[in-house]
Amino acid sequence: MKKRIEVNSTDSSSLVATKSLNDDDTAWVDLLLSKTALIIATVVIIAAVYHLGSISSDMVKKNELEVIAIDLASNIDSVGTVHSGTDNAVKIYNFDSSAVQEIDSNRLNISVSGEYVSCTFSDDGNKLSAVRPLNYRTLPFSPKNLRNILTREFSADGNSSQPVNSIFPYTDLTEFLSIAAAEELSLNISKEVNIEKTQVFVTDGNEVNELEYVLVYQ
Amino acid sequence: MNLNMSSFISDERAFLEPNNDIIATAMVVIGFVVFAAILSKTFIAFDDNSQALENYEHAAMIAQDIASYPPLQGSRPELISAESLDRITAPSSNEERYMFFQRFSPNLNFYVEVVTDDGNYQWTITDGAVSRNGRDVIASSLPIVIELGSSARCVPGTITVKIMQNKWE
Repeated sequence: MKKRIEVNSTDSSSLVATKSLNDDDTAWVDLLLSKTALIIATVVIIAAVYHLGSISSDMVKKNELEVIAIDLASNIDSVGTVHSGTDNAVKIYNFDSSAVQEIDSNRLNISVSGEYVSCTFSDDGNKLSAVRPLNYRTLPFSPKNLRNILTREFSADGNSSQPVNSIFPYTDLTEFLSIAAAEELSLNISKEVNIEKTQVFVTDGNEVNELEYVLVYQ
Repeated sequence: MNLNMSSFISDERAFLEPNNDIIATAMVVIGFVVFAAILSKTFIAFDDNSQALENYEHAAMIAQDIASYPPLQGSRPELISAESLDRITAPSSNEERYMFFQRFSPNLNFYVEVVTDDGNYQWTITDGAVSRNGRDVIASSLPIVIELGSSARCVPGTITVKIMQNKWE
């Protein structure tokens, strides 16, 4: 019973408080609430604008990376379009230094593997990267290196005088080369890149065929 | 209606007056959200377009390459021989088709259609591993001249390279 009275008394006291709040004409609470909301909203808007700005600067950097990757990949592909027996199957590619403006070229990492060109740039914690696939069969080896690898595996260097023994569809050779080419080759941006078309000759005993590859090396 | 309006104007209780700044902030927020939405939509459209253009350039490059592929050449360069097209599309010539597709990266999934402009002849060069179901097709065409038979009769035609790509969503 006693308890109930207590509850009643708190109830009535809160009622009194509500009443005094209702009758309060100074509107301090109103003012404080609206100003707090205003400050929070302003902070949110400023943060959003600032975030948008930082995103756009990231986008500029990302664009530069993509330009570098696309330029290198299309140069490799353009050597791939050269048919065997014609000239200019060798191309020397220089990285365009004017493409690198926002990003620090010392922290830029360009690598090429048998399947893609990738450009990564790490800038205090956030990592940007641009990757472009290659359309032609590419090997990140120098011609000498390629012949050495072939000699070691097939005891023939794949030149026209020493074709590799393999039976159509040459799966052992192509699989071996694509696995070997999966390892990325890091490129130094200040040195020139050699891109070269080469042929690997294969024979099944009575017929000689040539498989075409693009070599990328420094 | 007239009455309502005048009652609204001559209303001096100032319901919204103390919260003017909140209304102003709300309008700024709405404006900013609309601006950001338009910006992101424009960017997405630009990104889509540049990707489509890049894909198309790949296809165009491959079409150009195939048009000058030596085993397809006729009596003169720049002429595609119908005979060699027949040979390469014959079901038995796996090896020639293999050599045709060997130069390209195995990640690239495409086939080539050659048609004469009058529609009488059509060849499709494919390595058999191309599935079209629910995938994006990037196509590029190139006008060529096809040499029919050994009588050196030439007809205009088109070479079309169709690259299959998984849908980008």
